[in-house]
Amino acid sequence: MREQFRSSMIAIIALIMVSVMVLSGCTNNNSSTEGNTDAVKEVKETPSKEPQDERITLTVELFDRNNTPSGEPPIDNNFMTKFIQQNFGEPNNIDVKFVTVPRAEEVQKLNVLMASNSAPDIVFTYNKPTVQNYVKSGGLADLGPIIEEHGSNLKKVLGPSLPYGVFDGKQYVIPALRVIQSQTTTFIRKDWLDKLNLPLPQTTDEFVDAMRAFKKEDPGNTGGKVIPYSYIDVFHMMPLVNSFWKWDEITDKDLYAVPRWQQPGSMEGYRLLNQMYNEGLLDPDFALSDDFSQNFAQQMVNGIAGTATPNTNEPVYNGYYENLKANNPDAVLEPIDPFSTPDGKHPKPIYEPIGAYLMVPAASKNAVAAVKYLDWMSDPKNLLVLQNGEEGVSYKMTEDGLPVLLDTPEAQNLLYNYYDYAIILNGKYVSTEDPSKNIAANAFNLDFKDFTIKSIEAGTNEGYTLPRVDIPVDAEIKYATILEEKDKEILAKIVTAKPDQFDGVYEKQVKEYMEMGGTAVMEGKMQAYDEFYKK
Amino acid sequence: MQADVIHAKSGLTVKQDRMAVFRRQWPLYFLMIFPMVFFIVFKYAPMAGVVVAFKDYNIFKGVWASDWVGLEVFREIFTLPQFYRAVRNTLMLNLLGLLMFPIPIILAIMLNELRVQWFKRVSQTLLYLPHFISWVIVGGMAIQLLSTNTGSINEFIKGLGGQPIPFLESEIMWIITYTGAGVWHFAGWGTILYLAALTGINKELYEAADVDGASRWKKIWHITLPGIKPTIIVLLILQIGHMADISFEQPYSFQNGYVMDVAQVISTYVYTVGIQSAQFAVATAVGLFQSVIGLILLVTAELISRKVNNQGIF
Amino acid sequence: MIRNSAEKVIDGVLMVCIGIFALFCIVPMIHMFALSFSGNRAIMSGEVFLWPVEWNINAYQSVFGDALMMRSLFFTIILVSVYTALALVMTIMAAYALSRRDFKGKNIMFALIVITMFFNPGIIPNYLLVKELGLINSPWSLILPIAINAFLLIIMKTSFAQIPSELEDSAWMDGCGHFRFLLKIVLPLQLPILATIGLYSAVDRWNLFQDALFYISDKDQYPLQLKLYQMVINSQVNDATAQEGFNSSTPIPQGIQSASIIFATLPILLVYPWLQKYFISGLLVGSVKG
Repeated sequence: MREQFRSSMIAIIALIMVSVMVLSGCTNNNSSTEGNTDAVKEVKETPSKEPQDERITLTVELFDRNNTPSGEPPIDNNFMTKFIQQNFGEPNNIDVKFVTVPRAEEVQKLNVLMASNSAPDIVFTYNKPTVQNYVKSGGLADLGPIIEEHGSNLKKVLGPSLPYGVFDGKQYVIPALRVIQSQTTTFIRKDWLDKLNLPLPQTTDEFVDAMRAFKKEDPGNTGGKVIPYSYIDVFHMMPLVNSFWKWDEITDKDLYAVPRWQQPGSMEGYRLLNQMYNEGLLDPDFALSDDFSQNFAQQMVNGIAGTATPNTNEPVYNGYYENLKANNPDAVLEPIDPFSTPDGKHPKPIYEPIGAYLMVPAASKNAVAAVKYLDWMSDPKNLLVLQNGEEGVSYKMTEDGLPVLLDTPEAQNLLYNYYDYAIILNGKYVSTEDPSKNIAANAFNLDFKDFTIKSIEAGTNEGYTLPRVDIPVDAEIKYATILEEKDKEILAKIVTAKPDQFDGVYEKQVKEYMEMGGTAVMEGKMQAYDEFYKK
Repeated sequence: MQADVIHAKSGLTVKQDRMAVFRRQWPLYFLMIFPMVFFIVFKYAPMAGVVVAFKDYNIFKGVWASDWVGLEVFREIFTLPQFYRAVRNTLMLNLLGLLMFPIPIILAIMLNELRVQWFKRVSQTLLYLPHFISWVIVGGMAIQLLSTNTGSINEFIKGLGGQPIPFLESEIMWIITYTGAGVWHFAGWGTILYLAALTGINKELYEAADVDGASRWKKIWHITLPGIKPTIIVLLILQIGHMADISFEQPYSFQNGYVMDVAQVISTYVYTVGIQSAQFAVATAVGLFQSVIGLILLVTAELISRKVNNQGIF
Repeated sequence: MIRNSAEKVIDGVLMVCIGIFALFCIVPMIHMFALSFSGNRAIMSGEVFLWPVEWNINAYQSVFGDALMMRSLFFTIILVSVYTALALVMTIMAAYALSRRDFKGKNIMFALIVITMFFNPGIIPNYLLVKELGLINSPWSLILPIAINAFLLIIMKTSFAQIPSELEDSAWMDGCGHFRFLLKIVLPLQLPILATIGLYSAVDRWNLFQDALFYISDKDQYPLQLKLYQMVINSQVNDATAQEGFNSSTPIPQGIQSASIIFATLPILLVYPWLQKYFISGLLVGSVKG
């Protein structure tokens, strides 16, 4: 009796579920919140022209990092926003409104806004698969013609980065200009080298020798806790590994398409890391966390780590150089560029000259206003304010025309998030002609100015970027993130393997990598490369 | 059935029976209106969104206008690299979690048996403190404490002359650490519910047992446990029903490159493959897959419980 | 109660066992307290464990002086109060009705509710619904979509169902309908479970921030935990900061993070001790005899 009752109940439930779903399906069909296909078609064909006398509201995305100093006005209504409204909004009859998006989860929030047709007129993200997805789905406005008409300043300043935003021949994305292209820079405890009478390492061999010396002699008096080389992960080990690549065997196409694990010579680079690990020269817990901010900072500040290859200038902007000096005034960090190929070159990856990807949704009616805004922003005198604040209050000009930040709380309170307003740039920008001025401008912490400038120079020396290919690769969109995760796994396993098992572990891991999408991505990229460079 | 009984007993007509029942029961239907509206609007309406699992979802065309692709997405996820690894790990970690099921019960009974009132109150508050620390922070703390070479606990062990334990770096130890952290985070919080259930046990039963000279153990076994049996059964069935689900924060905060073979679970896998790669159909399809499995598990557990205990969640 | 030596030994053993577990539970909190009162340099050097080093109250001054934090605190308290009240009312209504023996159709309704525990289509459909209802950026978006937690409902229903049916029958004979029965008899008897579900609901809402992340853009309406989450995440050096390069922000010092965590956790911690008085037994005794 009970079984009959139960089975009939299940049947009824199934029926109800299906009917509810079908019903909601029917009623939702032409809901205005979802179908943007009309909007997509419209804007693609003609850029919108709004009547000049109607006041429009331009909405711009703004990252919220939740780091407003106490007592300061909110990020959507402060000195910067007022400056923008006064100098751009008023003269153009536009109300500039900032829509805050939490920096954490910015990708998800952006997706949700796009899906519900409520995204701001100007949006941006750092996540490339998301951008590629938007391009593929037809949701972005073609800004090419608008930039031709209204974007002369923009074209000048963003000259190097604009080509990266062209897909299928259309300018769907305006990539921000990345002023400083260096990715990582190695530094070393110079005071330790001095104690041991060793020179600054300039080749890979010298570097390893210095590491061994650090371990053996323990110039920092750590009682055996010394970690000669710390901050180990795939991204930051590239300079080292790159010095083992057989560059004459690698064509541009290979550079673009072949995964790093399979580049000729790569295995030897990782073998060196494995060797160093087994000699106790590396941080033994290196793979425990993606977030190096706490552990590595502690290692530095406590004088345990001897060298590392962190993000360029990280010791300064993360504050641990300062804290190290507070603990030990004799400590000196020196940027070096030791990893060298047999013929004395120092190849290393550097960033493409692009930062965040700025976009205008196809459904936006204010594409022209958006481009005008970005064009206004590209004017050097506006950039000066957006990046440096108010003269006399937050910065002063030096004789050579460089803005130098004042070390005052007012400056800090004004500029703690300037880069979220000056979105067309990643890094300080003062001169279109002279790159060294730009480098100097980015050394904002005067105590460590030399360190910063040397770090940038070392980090950009003989750097390379991947060849540019416009055509999106489906496999890449699908597998990129999962392969990145696999990268971490591979590194952990191959570096910690016993030396005699290294070859076997390496081959097994790489085989798994290729089978889980690596091959698909490689082949897709090769195809895309051929197609792109056929022209 | 009830109507027939009344009929036979009272001799009323069928129509008067139905009136009687309605007069008594109409408040129940009234009470159910609000909750049912809630579930239909906020749960069933969005549920229609699961059709994304059957579509080539274009975020701009929306859920309904995107092209239908049938089971294509499912075919894809079942051939996705390492999908099975994620499923296997999810089930394994959840099974271990199931083994930990009795711990809050034991703790609650222990607290209940304790006669030192002040200790009881203070420890109750202390025990649930971990529940309030988010996993993001626990993950950071875990690394500081448990890393093999510089973690505080291993420093302590080394100081005593022992060998450091790779809590987070060896696969077996990681599983143990993960499960232990789960217990630490939840057990104290779970006792609250059991303590509430324990207060519902008739005191007279205990008094009668005392008169009969029963020992503490006998009282716990024959009075306390049966007294909270319905609660235990319900929670057990629900936990079984959720064996295919796993939260995101705990695994994500504990994962690292050494242990991905056991630490990659469905939730973190979907986050990487589905969300960060803008593959929403994949994320939805995996979610649907989990839902169906969960429902099957729940119904199975319910049926078994009915047979064995004559009791279930229904 | 006579406490002979055997009982004392048992008590002792229990206290030791529970005490050890409790110690594990409290040590991390003590550590955070210590961090929140310590100097930055000491924290970065890893010198702080259970006791503050370089004592200062800068972190707390920062937190309390932050008007947004304080506004967020008040908003969160009000939000949680309103939410808990609504959740309790709705859950009680459903739990009571579904626990009545002779309620025709209850199994189907219950089955429909149980099913909702399993099917969650993700953020996009939910966001679209909230938008359609005009609730984006309204505090109600943090209350209505989660008004009833099916899991808690099941627990409450199971508890309500344990009330002896004779009680209901005799009440009916005395002319007491369902509403009065619920209010005058069931609820007073079920205080412990009501307190528990109320507590669980309040804590769930207090700790939840993922919905506010998407539904709320007005900073004054951020739940406290959301501000906290952002603070912690933004201070981590990871792929995101690698992408931002020279645009990365200085991480928020750990001392301030810890002070914020304590600030965000303390209020809700104080709720349970206050509720403990509802966890008294013996209310059922005597009610059946009449």
